[in-house]
Amino acid sequence: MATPAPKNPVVVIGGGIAGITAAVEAAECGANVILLEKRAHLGGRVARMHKYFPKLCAPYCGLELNFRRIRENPAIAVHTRAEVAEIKGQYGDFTVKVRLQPQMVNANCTACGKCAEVCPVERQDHYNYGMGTTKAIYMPHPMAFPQRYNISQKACIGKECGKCVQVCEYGAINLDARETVLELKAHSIVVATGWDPYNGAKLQGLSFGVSPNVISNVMMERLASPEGPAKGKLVRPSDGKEVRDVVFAQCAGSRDENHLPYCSSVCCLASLKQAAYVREAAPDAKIFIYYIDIRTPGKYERFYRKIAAEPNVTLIKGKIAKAEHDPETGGVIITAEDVLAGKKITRKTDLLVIATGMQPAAQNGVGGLKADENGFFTNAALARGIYAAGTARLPQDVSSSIMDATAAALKAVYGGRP
Amino acid sequence: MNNTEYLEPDLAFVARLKRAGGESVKKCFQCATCVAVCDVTQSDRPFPRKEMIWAQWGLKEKLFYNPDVWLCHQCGDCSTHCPRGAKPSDVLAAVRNLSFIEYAVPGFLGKMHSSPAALVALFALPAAVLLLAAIYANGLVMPEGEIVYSRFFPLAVIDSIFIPAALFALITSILSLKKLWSGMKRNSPGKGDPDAAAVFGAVKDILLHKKFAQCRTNRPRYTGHLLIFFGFLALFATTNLVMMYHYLLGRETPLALGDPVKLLGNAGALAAFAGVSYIIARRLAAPDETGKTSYQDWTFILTLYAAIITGILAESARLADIPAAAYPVYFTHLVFVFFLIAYLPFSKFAHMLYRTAAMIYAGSNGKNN
Repeated sequence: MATPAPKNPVVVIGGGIAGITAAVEAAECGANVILLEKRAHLGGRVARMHKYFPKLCAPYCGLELNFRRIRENPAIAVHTRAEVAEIKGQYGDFTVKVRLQPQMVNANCTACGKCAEVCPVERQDHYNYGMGTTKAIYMPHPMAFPQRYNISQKACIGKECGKCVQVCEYGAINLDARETVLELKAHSIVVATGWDPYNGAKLQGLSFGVSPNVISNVMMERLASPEGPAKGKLVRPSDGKEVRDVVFAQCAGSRDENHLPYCSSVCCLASLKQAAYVREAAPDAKIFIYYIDIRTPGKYERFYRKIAAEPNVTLIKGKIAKAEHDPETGGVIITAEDVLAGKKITRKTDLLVIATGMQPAAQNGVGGLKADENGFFTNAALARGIYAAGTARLPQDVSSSIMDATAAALKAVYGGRP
Repeated sequence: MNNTEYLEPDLAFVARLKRAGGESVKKCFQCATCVAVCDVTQSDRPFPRKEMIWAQWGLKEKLFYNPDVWLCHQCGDCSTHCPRGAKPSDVLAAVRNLSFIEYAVPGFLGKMHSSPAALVALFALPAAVLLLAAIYANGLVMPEGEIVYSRFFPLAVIDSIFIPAALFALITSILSLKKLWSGMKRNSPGKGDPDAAAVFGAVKDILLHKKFAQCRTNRPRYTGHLLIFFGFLALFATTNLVMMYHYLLGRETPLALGDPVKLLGNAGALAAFAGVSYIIARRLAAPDETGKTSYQDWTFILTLYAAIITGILAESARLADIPAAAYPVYFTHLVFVFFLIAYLPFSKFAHMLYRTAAMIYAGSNGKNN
């Protein structure tokens, strides 16, 4: 293309699927790119998914390809544990102030794992949404990129322990590392800060956090994953008992003015997909999906029809607004109206999966950029040269996020209007 | 298809319902959260989700002639949890407000009770009747000496006004109830004849305030309603006992303060006063929990309050021996009492008739959970 590559790099905020895509696409258009990720590894929420809908393939397949594109492209610099503090300037000449959290494990790490063997501290495994624990020095999963260990500063006791430093043969660990600040010049900025699952504990009456057998949909992804805390076996978190009956509660927080007033757009498909996990792991288990409306737009309608026709899958119109721990069976008792039958029903189930919606991760803004009243960034409200992409802009699925990120990358390189 | 049902949406009715307190009705998107969180509804054909879609479509026949609108006790739990702010409890209350008009025989009295413009006329009737009676009985001259209300209004005069008023209320109540009952039979499945067990069950639920006790959002109303309910029961009993004293035993009012009947009356008045005060305070302080207070709600609550307060003041003025205050207050008290009794089936007071009937109907047709 005739347009010369921009002088300053494109800065991409967020290393999830949208940010990775934007970074790779912009770089492959000839721009220099700096990709910033606040966690220690790239991949975001997608890295924690068991499978994608509608093809039911593993997200790591696509992530691996993208990691290779990053590794092989010298135009892309990646900073992990990097948080944006401030954005100043205008299109073509932004200054982005970045706080780099202490880099206690450097690139010498070979992921041999000896450090974790000697580490005396256990912490909650956030990667698995609190199901299980890791050491204070840990690798979230075997495929993590960059392929190096990370130290939880909160959990680590520090130098007085220092066992990991002693055992590391590569000099990869430095417990004295301090926070540093980077000032980056930027031609343009892509905001791809992604989403968090809505906190199910805020949904009064659903017993999330009260009964261990009430889990969120993102936890279900980990539960179904062979790398997850249950090694992919479908068992009750409370006692490891095999699950014979699963209930999905749709719109757990979404389409609710007391919580998330918008539709999160992916949860219906996610639950249908997870019904497929159950079908595979426990073919005899009964599956019930309670919904307000099943929203599977466009070609996803086919996926809905396919799953709805599966044996043991029942879809019931009516929102679950009450779920209680069942002291008798250790399971969960749900209450809803079966609208089409005109009956109020209660049902005992082994596992209740609440389809919690998408909440923007940077709902309070990033680096001084303001989000809208729901926490999303709308391009119309951003200055020229700053483009939101993926679920930071609106709730959407992975393939839409990727298209969105590609569009944002092109605007970022060629200076499109928002 | 021989089971085709033709719906006739009535948009004018929807507009009326919105004006009567149900303006949020169109926000409902039928998610059925309301049914799931309602502890009062039965499981078979539960409310209030189905009522919300009937209301949106203006299917007034279904709404008016179905016991479920009356089985709702306006706890407000559905409105608290509603994801859309559709406030089902307010919508059902609005349906009940319109029901008072719908069931009323004669109909114009029902309409008058929902219209602020007619309030003066409704009060003018008892005021005029009692004024004429006072002129007839005592030429509007306050009796000299010790305050004895029966010297101002002899019991025979009182009875000749209030017994016909009560009979009028009784007859119109029966006619209005018949309209509701035959409508329910027409519209909801079941045989529709009351059975003794259902009557017993409904009376038990009412006396124990069982449904009120199941409310969460508006739980404090349990206490308020209980005080008013038993306060008024005591006052009703007192009135009848005083009549028996007079006609059977020849004992005249005022009764001594230590007389058991007097004690019962005073206890009832104080309980009712406390209950109404609490209800008013709650409606003013926590409208999110009590739900919307409509014109009919306020008229009923404030008339009750006025009747209780003037009753207490009349007794106090008599005991304090202030004739200039006592007789006018007593007169006012009678106006409010007349309003309550004679217009019972047309004001919100009628909720006790219709709710009881609906509970019996539902119980008789296997819908009591």
